[in-house]
Amino acid sequence: MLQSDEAADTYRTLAQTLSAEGLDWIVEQVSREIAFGKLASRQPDKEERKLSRDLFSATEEFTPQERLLMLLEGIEQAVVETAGMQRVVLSIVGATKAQVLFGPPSPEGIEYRFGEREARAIGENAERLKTLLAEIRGEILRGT
Amino acid sequence: MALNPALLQEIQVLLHSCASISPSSSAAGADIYEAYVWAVAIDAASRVGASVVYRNRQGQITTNLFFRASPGRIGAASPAYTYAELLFPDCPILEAHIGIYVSGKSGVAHECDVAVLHKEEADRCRADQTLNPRGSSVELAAECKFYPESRAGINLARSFLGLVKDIQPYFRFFVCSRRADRIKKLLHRHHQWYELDVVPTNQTSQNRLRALFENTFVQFKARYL
Repeated sequence: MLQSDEAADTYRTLAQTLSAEGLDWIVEQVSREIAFGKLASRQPDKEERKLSRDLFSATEEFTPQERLLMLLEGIEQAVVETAGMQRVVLSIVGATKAQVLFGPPSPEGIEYRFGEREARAIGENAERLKTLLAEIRGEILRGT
Repeated sequence: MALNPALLQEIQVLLHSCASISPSSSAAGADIYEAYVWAVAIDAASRVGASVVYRNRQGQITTNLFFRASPGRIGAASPAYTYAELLFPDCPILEAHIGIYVSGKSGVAHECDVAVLHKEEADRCRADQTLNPRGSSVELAAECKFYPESRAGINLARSFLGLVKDIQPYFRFFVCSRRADRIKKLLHRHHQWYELDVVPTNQTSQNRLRALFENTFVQFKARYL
């Protein structure tokens, strides 16, 4: 089981790594979700029911372990799954297509590109990354 | 039990090696996701008998695939974005596009992340660049949401409900890369087609989405028997 302080340390280390690698948008998105809190609801008590029987909506703070799980999901979605998506696109359109490019309506240059060579290079690493992220998730969930 | 430091170190090394090709913003991630769902739609069309040709705005067969990083008009002259031409025997020719505007019944333009529409309508809009294809010419549309914030997700599903109301309700799909129970509840309640947690490592969801798309094309073909 991963203790709260270890979960918080791991979160910090991974967040710093992501920022250093130019993937800080993942950390920002996870931070926004953390700041908003976990959605919850509460039954009204006897006094409160006099006015309405409706549930109260509420938010609770995420635990350090839950925060780490959210960051792991972010890494999986943004790094592991996008690598898989690139491979799916290339396998369906055929390997003869040299590059897949994304650009704006105005001819200001290409915003993003990938091709067979890049997708192949990243493939094995993304698979290994998924396995390691699952190991951390396993450590967290063993304690719940 | 504390985490093995070697585990974290290896993750850091792997993140470094993957970073150069990983999307550098959520918008870039969304672009890749749209291309992925578009490719699943093309795969579905092929599996039910379509021949596929990739063309650019000028109708030339392309080697590179060039997609919009933000939505635009199908007829925009420059640059030459790629679309897939889908040819089913004895049926009108279809085209599969990414990120185009489509006219709703109200006359308002809506963005379609993935749209499969009649070539005849697309040609009309390429000839008159001011026009957007009409919703009724769209045989399949998918609203693609990549890793949305859970708070924003429900709003995205709500706007999807508005979109399908204005563009015709049939064969419009909400596709999301995350599991999202609240979105599921909302779309299910309103009898919408959706598939959540659609990512390459979830083959079940990916196959279910492809089956939904295949069914769309089967129904399209049946109209021309």
